[in-house]
Amino acid sequence: MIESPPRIRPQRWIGEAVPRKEDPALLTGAGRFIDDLDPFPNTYHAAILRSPHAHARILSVDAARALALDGVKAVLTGARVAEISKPFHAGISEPVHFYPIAVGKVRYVGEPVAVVVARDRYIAEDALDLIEVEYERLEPVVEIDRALERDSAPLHENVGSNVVHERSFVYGDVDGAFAAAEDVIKATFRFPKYASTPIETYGVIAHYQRGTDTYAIHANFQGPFVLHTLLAAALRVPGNRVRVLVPPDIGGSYGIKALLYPYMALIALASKESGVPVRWIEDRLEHLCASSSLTDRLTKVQAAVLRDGTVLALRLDHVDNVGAYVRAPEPACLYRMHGTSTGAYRIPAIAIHNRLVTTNKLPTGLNRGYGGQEHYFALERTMALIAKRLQLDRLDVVRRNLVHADEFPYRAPAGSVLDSGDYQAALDEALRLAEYGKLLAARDRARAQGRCAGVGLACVVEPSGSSMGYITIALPLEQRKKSLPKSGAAEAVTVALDPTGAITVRLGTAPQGQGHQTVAAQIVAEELGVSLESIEVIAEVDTQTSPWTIASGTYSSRFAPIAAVAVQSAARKVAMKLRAIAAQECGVPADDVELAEGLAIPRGERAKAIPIKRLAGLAHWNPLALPAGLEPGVYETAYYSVPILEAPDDQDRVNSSAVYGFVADICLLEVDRDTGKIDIQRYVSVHDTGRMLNPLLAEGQIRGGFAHGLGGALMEEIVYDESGALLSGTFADYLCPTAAEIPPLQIGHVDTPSPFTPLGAKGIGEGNSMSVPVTIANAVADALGIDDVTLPLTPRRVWELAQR
Amino acid sequence: MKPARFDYYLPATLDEALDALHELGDDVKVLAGGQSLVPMLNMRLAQPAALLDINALRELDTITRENGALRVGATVRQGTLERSPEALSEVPLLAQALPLIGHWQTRNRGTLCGSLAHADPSAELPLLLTVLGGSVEVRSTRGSRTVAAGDLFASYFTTALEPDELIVTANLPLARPRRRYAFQEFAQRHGDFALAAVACAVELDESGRISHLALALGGAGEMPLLVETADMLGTELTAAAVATLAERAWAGCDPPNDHHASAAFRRQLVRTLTSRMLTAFAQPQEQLVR
Amino acid sequence: MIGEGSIELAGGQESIYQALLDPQLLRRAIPGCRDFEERGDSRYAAVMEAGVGPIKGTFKATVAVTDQQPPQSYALQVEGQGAPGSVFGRISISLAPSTAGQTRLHYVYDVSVSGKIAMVGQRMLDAAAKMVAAQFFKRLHEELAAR
Repeated sequence: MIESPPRIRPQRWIGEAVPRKEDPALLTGAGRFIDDLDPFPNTYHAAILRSPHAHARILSVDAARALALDGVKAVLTGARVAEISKPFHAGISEPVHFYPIAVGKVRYVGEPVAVVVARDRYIAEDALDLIEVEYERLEPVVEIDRALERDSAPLHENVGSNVVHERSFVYGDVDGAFAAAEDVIKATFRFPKYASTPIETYGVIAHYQRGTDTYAIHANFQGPFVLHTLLAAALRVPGNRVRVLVPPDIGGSYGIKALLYPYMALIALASKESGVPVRWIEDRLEHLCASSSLTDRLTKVQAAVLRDGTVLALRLDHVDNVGAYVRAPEPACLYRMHGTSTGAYRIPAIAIHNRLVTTNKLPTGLNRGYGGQEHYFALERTMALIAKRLQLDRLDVVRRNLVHADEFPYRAPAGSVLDSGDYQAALDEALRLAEYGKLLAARDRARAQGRCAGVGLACVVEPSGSSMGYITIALPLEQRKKSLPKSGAAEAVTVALDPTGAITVRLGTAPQGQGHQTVAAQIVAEELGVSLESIEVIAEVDTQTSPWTIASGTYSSRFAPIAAVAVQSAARKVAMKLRAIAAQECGVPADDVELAEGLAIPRGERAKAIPIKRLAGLAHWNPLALPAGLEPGVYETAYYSVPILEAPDDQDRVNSSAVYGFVADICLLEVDRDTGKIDIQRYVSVHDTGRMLNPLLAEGQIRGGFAHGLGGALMEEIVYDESGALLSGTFADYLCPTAAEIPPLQIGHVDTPSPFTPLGAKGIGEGNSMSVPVTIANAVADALGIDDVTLPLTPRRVWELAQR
Repeated sequence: MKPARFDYYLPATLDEALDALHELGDDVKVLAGGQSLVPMLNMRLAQPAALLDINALRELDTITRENGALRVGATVRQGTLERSPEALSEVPLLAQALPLIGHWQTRNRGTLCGSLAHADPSAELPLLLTVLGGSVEVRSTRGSRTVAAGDLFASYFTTALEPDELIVTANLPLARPRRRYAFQEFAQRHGDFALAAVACAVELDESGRISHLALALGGAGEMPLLVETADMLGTELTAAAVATLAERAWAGCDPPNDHHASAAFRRQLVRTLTSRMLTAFAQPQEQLVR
Repeated sequence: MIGEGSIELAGGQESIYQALLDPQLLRRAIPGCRDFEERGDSRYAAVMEAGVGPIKGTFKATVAVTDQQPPQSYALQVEGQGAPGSVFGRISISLAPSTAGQTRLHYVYDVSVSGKIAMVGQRMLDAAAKMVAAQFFKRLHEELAAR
């Protein structure tokens, strides 16, 4: 069987710049996205009638003319949805009922009011124009400040107030620190509402099977699969009757496709009502008005400081605007950074007051950076203001407060355990790459020539691999105690060898372009000593047949810290089995068998090497010959969760993420006072990615996060007028950076592998989404010599700031 | 994002097209490149009863030179002009304006005449036609006529054409030896609708005095606006003159207010662009960098 | 959208005030107005086609005349709904004597537009409002002059 003499050459794949396995199909137009699928015969098309009003009571819906149109099968209204389903659960105490369609009232422009099921989308849209809805307009509540006022019209009358959640936390001796402070810096920050804009919009193809009372729902859903549980509950069936199938390819998400689940329920119900399979592909107008966004946030900060810049304590007052409903996983946006509220700094005491308000805006959810950009905008602006107020060098203030390299793992007062890092070294690397001295000289030279230049800086901790428990911090202890404690963040992976030794890896991560197939293949290839080409990685999730956990999916940059380890664990299970079989065949201990070059090679006895495909064949064809205790076949599933992710403790402390990366950003820009145009001349970003799994993919993630952060800094905003009308409904009005608007980015690394996971890798997809908005804000504040900076820094806003 | 039902006509000859326009009345839209019309159809903002597709009219797909003008037919793509060295050298302002219109992809479909007929006050080509003092040739079953740029644009997205009339040719005056041209706009991203645009054509005589000055503003009101410059003829383009013209541009425009930019900011942009553009012309010629 | 403007109208203040409340005249003056019916109690029901350039929409509207201070001022509360979205707001109109035989009309509008037309028609809305207002008062002027 051995065709050539074996030569052991252990191949290292993890950490190599391997090109993406996914690309050939994607680049040749052979990807398979949701709208490429045609899983059910005789599938009808849905179009959704949406609210033109921000806040109104629905007096009547008359669909008679629509139903009379040739080709229309059914019209589903909110009243009917309320009869046949239950509202979705969310993790707060107050009863904010959320259905996937307006029931009784509309609460934001674009909210679904009726679903038409018709033979094609043209007819469905024709029918929308024939549905007559009578509305009674109510007072729109648009801004956070209005929502906080007691007399604002409550969106949810049964709650009675637009403040739908409030909790206070104190960690450490905050009062003592403020009493001891030599100065107190106070500032107020507002962070705007913006979104993710993947090329592919939402899509659902649902089929209700009457005979078995089951739903099959194809959807380009990204997880977290805890939402599958909520979906089944809303549809009033057990989870095993809701089969969610994620297509092989998803055209980007950046968080937003987590919030597809209400539409999965809506289209599933439309299928049930109409008796036919139903396809709904969201168009761009729908996406921009009624998918999801991050929260806009009002933050008031007080910092107790010493004159040398030491920060003794912080008081943070947050008001997070979740829009019209509290949709799970909200209020996660407010709590994702909770344990890490002190950022990269060794600030011993912190008090946090959290409120959540509802307004007549698009409801919120996951968005690249989720909670981080809002949080660091306040924290890193505050650090800049401290330096300015105390007339200290900005760098000195940062350095004085950064967690020291010898303090890791560092337990932050609110609970996060910063696993590893060398923040000072990473900052120094950023300064070196940016040639900081020359940068400052360039700024000063520009100023001397009458131009307006500024330097910005930010240091952020980038959490990745969210714990399933952190959201429960939103509930008071006594309420939390009533249910099961929630900890960890598990992922599941299967590695299987067929009788010919062909290797299939099955992921539960539902990737959207991140390159999981590539990295999974790298890990498996390295563990099994096989070539990359010999491995197929299946990323399409089927909740009936794929391995998955409640935490599965792609969010919180969790592939590198968690899913990659599950891949490694499953591959190691397979490796152990192969080595055990080979050991018996060769008569050596299993520990002496190495896997390389597609062979199992007894140490020092290359001539006895056995091809892996022969071992796999043996496990399938000849189970009686297997070593005692081994099961036939080669099909191994591993579940991995990070041990350090404990449930919140009784003091409300929670380690919210598996591992923590770090980003240090430096930027030089010029502002044209007459046009408000910002010219970013230099941008340096240094990252701690732990152990890097694939440098090409890491760079791609950093550049993508940078572009998204840049959008938030300079142009992206979901704009409503004072009546609650949405003004940013097309890509001519909701501006995203394109390649032409993205300045050169210089990337550096100071990587410190995490000691808490076997691979030591850290997530890297969101750091710059968190850091770029505030870095640019700091630079513009420096350029214009002002304290009050609001995003996005559009030409108009910058011009107005420059006029002050 | 699916259009409402419409009747579709694809005439093979210009006469057929004009007959159809005559018969269909005022609820018909002419489809040339479709880069503005089709999105509006898909969003159902425009729901005409009929579309008249002129893309099969080969006779309109011509670029010729006649009577001191570049004659551009109604189905000539912006991208075709952009790739035509002759067109760019004969009407140099095209070289500056065309790259600012949308993107490669849109210019490969979009037409010059279609943009003129659409009469978007922020669009580049109506501004170009205005500053050059060009015209369009218009045909209907009733005959043909020439409409000067100054008479073509009636209001926001509205021309002075009758419903049965079709723009068949745009006439762009050819470059003159001493005349220099500039086109600048301010947009948030490349390819976006301009928040403000300014174009000018300047000729100085041997003594450095202004012998021709056309200054036009885009995105500044109902239609491209010409700034009054007659009193500048025979004077020098000094810094003071530039300041005067910039103030005139600022005072003379009435730009819209929306969430991208306030009217005040747009006016400021008009002033800044005007001032910067004219200042460049006020420099001695040898220092000019195109 | 907020805007204002003024126009000189031929006629005395009293007669113009009366004319402005004449449904027949209003029907002719409102651009694109297809129907204008009095529903009593100073309320009117209207169907109008409004738009700018290729964009057109048909709106069913109710108009209520409020805050009547003859012959100085009154306000129109407008509420319209159509497939492209909804329009609601207030137009305040005040009259003052001008030069001989002329009356000066000053109008202030504060109109909100919601739904699809606001979402996708941002660039056009300000223009549309200005156009509709200008057309209305121009026609009003012509109607009054023709009396």
